Amino acid sequence: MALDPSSRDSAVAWTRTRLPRTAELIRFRWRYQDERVKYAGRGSTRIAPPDSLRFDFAGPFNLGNGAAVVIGDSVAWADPEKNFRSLVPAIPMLWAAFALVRPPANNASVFGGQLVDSVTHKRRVFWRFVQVEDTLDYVVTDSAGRESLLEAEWRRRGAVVARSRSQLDALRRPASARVDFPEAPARFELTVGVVDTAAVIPPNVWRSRR
Amino acid sequence: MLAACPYGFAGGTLPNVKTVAILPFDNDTPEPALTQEVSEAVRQALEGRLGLRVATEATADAIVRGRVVRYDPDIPISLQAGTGQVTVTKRKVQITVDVEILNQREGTTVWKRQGLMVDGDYNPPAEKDGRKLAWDKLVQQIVDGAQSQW
Repeated sequence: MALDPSSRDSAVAWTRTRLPRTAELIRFRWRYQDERVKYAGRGSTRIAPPDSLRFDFAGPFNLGNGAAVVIGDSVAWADPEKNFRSLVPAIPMLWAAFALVRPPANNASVFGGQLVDSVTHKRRVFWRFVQVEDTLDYVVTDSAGRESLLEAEWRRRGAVVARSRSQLDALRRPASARVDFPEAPARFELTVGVVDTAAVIPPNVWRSRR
Repeated sequence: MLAACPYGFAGGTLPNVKTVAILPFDNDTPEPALTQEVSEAVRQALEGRLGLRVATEATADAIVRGRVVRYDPDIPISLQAGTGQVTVTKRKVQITVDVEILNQREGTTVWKRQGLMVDGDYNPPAEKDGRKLAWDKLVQQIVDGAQSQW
């Protein structure tokens, strides 16, 4: 489908519609797999809209645990840095895994489009954010109030860096996600157990000790 | 008295609980290592001291969950005055946790403590030594608390 040029403001407005209204604590199970290793564990993510996220993860028997704070597209801190980077090499995909979309960069060209299936009432919304080297595509499929799907793809100089597919529940909260890194190749999957929308996030969680 | 008690002081199980799953604690502090350390301390208390067996969440009789609420890593407790400066010769860590043991089969809370505070002294900069002492205290508090339910 050919996408039409669109304004950055429209895209930003759309990304805001995907944000939770209040802070959320999401508990999940995760699995990571590449050609050498296979890990699984549990984790939690605290999301403070519009742009802050703390990601905590623990491996089996709590080996390989760590935490990171992401503000927008940047990692404010990660501890241990190596653990987090190996688990989450692509920040836009981390947001997408939790069914959230980062707004396009200030210098990005923005394209958008929409398709509605009159029989199934499925609506598909497409956005493409293009920068010099990076292209981010997002496709949201809404099924008339039932579960929906957020698909994202990040390409750098034409090669796919990562592809994610996040299933949302009827309340548009993340239910499960799978992120593939075709070049590695590697895969990160998560299954959400609980979304706590009454979570209070203490200020200390954003600070780094190092 | 002792003969009437079905459990010993050094071991035994919680009522109707033989297996337990330890869920990762929420960590409200900036120190990621606490997630692993608190789980290890809880495992030590439940498996090593209370004789429970660690199992998966799906099959365990009980689950343990909780939160590391606060971590103060460097509270000075001993100072030495010098020329124009004061040297802290001893510090302590103070850790506050919430812990809850839930009986999954019966849907009841076996034991719960909120704001449980433990601490441990250390010689700077060996903060980890202080944490070790603090976790030892947590283990003891969990064991004492759980045994008080018998």
